[in-house]
Amino acid sequence: MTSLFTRWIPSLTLAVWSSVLLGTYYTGRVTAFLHPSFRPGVVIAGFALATLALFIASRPTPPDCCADATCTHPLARSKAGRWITFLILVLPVAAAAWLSPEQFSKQAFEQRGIATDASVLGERKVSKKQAATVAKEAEQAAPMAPPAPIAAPGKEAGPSPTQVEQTAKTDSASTPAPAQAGAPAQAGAPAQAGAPAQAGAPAQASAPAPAQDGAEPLPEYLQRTVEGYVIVEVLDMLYAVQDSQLRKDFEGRTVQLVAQMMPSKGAAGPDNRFKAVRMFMTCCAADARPVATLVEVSPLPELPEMTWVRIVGKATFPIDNGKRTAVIQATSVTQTKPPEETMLF
Amino acid sequence: MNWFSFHAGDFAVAFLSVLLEGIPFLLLGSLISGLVDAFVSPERLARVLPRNPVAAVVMSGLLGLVFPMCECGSVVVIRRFLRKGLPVGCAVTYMLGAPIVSPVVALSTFAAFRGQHPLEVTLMRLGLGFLIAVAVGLIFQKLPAQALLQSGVRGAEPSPASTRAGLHVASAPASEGDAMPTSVGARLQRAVYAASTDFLDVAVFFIIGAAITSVLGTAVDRTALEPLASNPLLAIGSLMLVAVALALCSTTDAFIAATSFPSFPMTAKLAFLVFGPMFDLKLYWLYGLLFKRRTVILLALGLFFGIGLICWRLNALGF
Repeated sequence: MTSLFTRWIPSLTLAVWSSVLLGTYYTGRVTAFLHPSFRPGVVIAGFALATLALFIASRPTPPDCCADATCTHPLARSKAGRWITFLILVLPVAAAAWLSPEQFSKQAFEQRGIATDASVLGERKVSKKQAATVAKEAEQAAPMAPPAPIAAPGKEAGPSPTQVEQTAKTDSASTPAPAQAGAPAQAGAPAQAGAPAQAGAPAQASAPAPAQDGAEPLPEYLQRTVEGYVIVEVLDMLYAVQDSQLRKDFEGRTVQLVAQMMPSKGAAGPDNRFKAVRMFMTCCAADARPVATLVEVSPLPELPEMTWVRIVGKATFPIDNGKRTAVIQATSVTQTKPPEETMLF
Repeated sequence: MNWFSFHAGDFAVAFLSVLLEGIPFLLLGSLISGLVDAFVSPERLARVLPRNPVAAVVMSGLLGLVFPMCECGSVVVIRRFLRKGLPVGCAVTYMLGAPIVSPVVALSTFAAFRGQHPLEVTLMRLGLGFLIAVAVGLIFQKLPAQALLQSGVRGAEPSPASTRAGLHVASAPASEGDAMPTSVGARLQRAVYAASTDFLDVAVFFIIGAAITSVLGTAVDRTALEPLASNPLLAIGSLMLVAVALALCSTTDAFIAATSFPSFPMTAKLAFLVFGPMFDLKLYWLYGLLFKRRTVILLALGLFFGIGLICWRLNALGF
């Protein structure tokens, strides 16, 4: 009798956990639940648990063990509740691993409050694109700092010659301010050989002509589809709202965005808009929050809410009610299959 | 406003993701605990700790800097140390302090609050976490261990002599189960058994805690919180309750604190960051493995009001 609870049941429990972890990892389902930095832990723990399970199963229990409270064998201590404990350990985990969908429902998106500007995102270096953001912050933090440290991050961030120029201008488009643009940055940044081009920069936002697409070389962190559309994510659009440097990279270009559709209820602006939503994850799905950019298209596509769509259109950043927003002027919105990683990081 | 509505699919996603995130850390804690069990004798432990009880507690509060451990893992390890005879005051100080006073947490907090006074927030978080952990440890040290701990957590009752010295170090183990094997092979075997036991013991409560957290995390409408942000006291209290409900890991909660509550004052976020790693729904169940229910509830209330009042005071001072 004792060997059931000291040997076989604990071993089986550990084996179930191990297979849940390894199964989730190797089927790729883990991508829906965890941030990449937490995924190696799953596979390591999976193998460690398998080892423990084999070890416990492989050894007979000494007959004199498990007689008192100091026994160290799993599940052997209390007679009552052993089966309940076993069921708590095994059933919810197995059921969740087996039955869980791989994305949140519409309800979760609504309850968590969909963010349409980057103020709620914090500043995280999550990709090459954010490297540009980080460089920008460094400048903002110390606009009067000596030139060298300013120039260095700017160079790393991208080849754009106008990078450092945008110092401390949160809204270059709203105020035509060529004078302010030059002063602090140029004085401190003789290394910026591309400076002459900067004079024209403030004009860019007010007239995002379609012809601009392709006129400037595409920054190397951006990728294009085979049709030549710039691939963007919701986060890029939101960061670009905040960051005039990033905005310049996107504004006026024809972009492609894959996201889920939600109605743009109650929001200001024209009624031919919908929200293109994605979940943004910090460490695991439990903390994921929805982020959205607006899409303007006529007529609105007749697709059910939460449908995954591929949006192609022009990236614009108009000011609505005194607040800058990201809006894609879509030329096509088509149903598509969910991307491999349904979460953004 | 319909602030509560349960959705089974969302629950499953959140539940599974919390398990997948936490289990590796729980297992790591269990393995360390197993090694402690097999290789650290109570005598050795007593030799390492400073003689002065206050110094011992203060040292325990800083131990997280050397042995970083998030809160799921630290409970398992501390349970093993308690059995080995570590004084309750030291144990509780490490348990509360290590998830905050750690290099990993300092780095993640600094990174998360970039642009929002990262240095101040990080220093305040670690400093306040350390002070609270030490204060609670000193209080626990004055109280009789038997009244605080679950029966069976102690391997053997401390003798009166060692209690008076401030170190509740257990005398020589009475039962055969606690005898230290001599060969390395036998010790490793014992370590594996102890690790498995600990893992399964704690996993039960971790599952219960994760399930409750996932219900609250997916069913409660977070946008309903916003009106509370303008009153400092309500803002601080409500974010601490959010920390209890969300039961985030202390290594990553700073990212949530920095970004999820834009309209809340900084002191409310600080309260979230200090209180969350010390007490939340999964910890309620995990602490129950060590302490009597009454102790756990009093500890939670004490931490809630203590941290709340400190942060409120800081808010009044203009932090």
